Amino acid sequence: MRSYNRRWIAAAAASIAVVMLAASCGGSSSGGGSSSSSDGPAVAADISVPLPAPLAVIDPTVDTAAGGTVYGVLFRSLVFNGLDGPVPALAKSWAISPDGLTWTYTLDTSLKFQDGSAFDSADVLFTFQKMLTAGNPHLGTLSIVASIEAPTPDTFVFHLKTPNAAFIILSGGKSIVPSDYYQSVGADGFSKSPIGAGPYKFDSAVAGGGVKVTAWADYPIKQPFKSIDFVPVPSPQAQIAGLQTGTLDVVANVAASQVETLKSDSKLKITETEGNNVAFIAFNTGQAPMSSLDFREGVDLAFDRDAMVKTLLSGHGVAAGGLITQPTIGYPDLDAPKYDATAAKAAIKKSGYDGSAINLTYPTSVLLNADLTAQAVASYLNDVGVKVTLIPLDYTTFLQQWAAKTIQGMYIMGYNNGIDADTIISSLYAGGSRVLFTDDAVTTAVALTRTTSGDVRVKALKALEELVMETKHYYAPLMMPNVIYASTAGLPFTPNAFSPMYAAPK
Amino acid sequence: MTRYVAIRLAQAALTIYLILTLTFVLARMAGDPTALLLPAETNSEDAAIYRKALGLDKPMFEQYIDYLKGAVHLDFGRSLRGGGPALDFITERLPATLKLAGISLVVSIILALGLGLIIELTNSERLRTFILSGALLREAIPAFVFALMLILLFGVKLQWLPFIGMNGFSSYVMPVATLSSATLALYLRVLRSNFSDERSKEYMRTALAKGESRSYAIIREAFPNVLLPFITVVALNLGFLIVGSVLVETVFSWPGVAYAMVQAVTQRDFPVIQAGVIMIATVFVIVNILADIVSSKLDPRIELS
Repeated sequence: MRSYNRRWIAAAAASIAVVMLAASCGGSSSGGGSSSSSDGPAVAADISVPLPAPLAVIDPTVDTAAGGTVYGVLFRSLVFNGLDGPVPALAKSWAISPDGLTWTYTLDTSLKFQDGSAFDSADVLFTFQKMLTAGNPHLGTLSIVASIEAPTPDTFVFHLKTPNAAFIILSGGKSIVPSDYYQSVGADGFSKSPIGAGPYKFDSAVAGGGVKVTAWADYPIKQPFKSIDFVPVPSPQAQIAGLQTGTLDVVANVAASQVETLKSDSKLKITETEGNNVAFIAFNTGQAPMSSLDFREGVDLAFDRDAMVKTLLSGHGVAAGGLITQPTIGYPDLDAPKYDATAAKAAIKKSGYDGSAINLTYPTSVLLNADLTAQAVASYLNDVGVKVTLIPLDYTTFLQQWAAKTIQGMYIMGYNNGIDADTIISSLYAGGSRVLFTDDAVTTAVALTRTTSGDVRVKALKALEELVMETKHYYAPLMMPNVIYASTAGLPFTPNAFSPMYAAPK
Repeated sequence: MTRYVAIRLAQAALTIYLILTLTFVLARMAGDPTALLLPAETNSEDAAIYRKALGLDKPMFEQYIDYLKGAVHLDFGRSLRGGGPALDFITERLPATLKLAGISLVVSIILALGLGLIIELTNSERLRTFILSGALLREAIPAFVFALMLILLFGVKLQWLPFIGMNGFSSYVMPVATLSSATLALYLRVLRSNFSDERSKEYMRTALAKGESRSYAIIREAFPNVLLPFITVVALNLGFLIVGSVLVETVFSWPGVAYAMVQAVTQRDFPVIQAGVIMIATVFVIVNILADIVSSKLDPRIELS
């Protein structure tokens, strides 16, 4: 009996040890590495907004993707990319040399950073020097910059390799950081406690990728929200559930199929804007039959785009005539190709297509209603005699194949425009790593859009779109889905297709 | 004991080396991460410069040697996405995972032992069937489906519990319920089988013959013996907690290691993937060694060899 007692005590002691071990884990004050109390009451915020992915870093000099929405409220750029074009921000004005190669910005040195430190050209120089360092992902968009200089505290100059009228928009997308502070705390220190000159300042971050910002009292324009909690919630379903329960206040990219359900909830408001995403088909023109203009034209004519918008987007979108979307500066407003199955069949027959199956690759996310869209496309193509093999890929794998230009046959993609048409031009018409054709006429037309301005540039953009879409049929545009937002009713929130959407406009 | 621990540590080192190698190979097989890190406007020349700056242009064997050298010093490089040390990225998130896994482990043990004892003490076939059926039903539902059901009921419909992130005590309830209930049926079966074995042994008959009540004999005599195999099964199932936390952390946006790992895999962030896998593997190996030692201490019949 005695030995059993000893075992019983040992077992009990072991159980208690396990409980204490777990309790010590549970009681850790480090709370997931939080700089705020992550284990106490939930942080109070005027609004909570979901992030589609956790932030790995809060540093606009090394990050080009994840932090876009957050950077839009924490930092300011040389210019502010408004919906009608760029307006002064950290730069008061800018001038372009006659050859379009030298851009001189006059800085507003009366402005300060959120820590009260002065702003001048040294901050701009430091920021762009970092972005232009080998291995920095910003180099992808800044490769046209030949050199930079800061001749005076209130002047900053870019020397470009080739002229580009959209450079002003590009400069508006690069957040400026305070040089002295950044260098004193280092990259890791800056990411943990970033300082900018934007309308909201950093309050706290939680390991796991969330961040809270509070309105900066010294910002010249009063902000609509006292604070914003950016919470990583990747799942769209969880985002909607969070909205319905009041955990979140704004959810973007609501599925069209959910609109009617959410509209019936009096606590919510649905807002819809023209989207900046376009769904399209691209051709690997290095392979037959996609190398045939007749084949590409036939495919372009094979779709009843209005019916696709009605069924696949529940009417929340428009048929696309090009890849540049409605809210983008330089939107050429091309008519969508008319559905003509007879003409499509004739063109495909003329191309000499032998009826063999062609790969049709698509990403299962990013593209709205990806599987249904792919099936609809396959069905329309089958109707005009084109056999396709659907190849769904996860977005990451698709992106890798896309960038490596190894996608065979055709692919469907949904692509976001930037605020200016040059984003789509750089990515899909000229030079970018996703362009699957080479065409001198297109190169010349692209150059014209970059060396002109005003109405002349608008005409050049329209001519480029007509050349790529209607003459050469390098892409078959399909649909432009609207962006649907659901938000807490009564929230002072005016959405648009571009960031920053939570800050008061400049 | 010292020799045993030394041998187990050597085995653990070999295991971790193999995991290091496997993680390196699998991560590289997942493809080039530069496409995910660079904007679409990037031309091929700039992409090549970027790849070189990250050291991805080096021969694979050279990358492997560099990786092993770094791993020896617990240096897994810097996150391709965030730029910070990859190991820091993981260790910052480790407390959140340990809290969730630790609490789930304790809850699952308490729940299983409590229900197991109730079934044994009441000796009610109906109660046994009811509890085991419920546990089996839960086991049959995949963890992410069960988590979503909880969210829909307690988060959305009743709005009793939060379901996004780690914010206070109430945010633990649903993730812990999901993780801790998943192994309940297994634990109850183990307890039932062990109690059944112990009941027929001579020491139990002796105890009852000496006038001890059935309840007293079960708790005082049989229960400590039932605990030994139970602890072994619990230790073997610690791996489930880690696998389960990947799903649970993702569904509940829990800021832990598993959630970070899923993001790192999606973004092909090699250093973070490697640091995370090694961290989890090391914890798992150490916990298993500790479980063996605890078992031998509890039961002198178990020899560590």
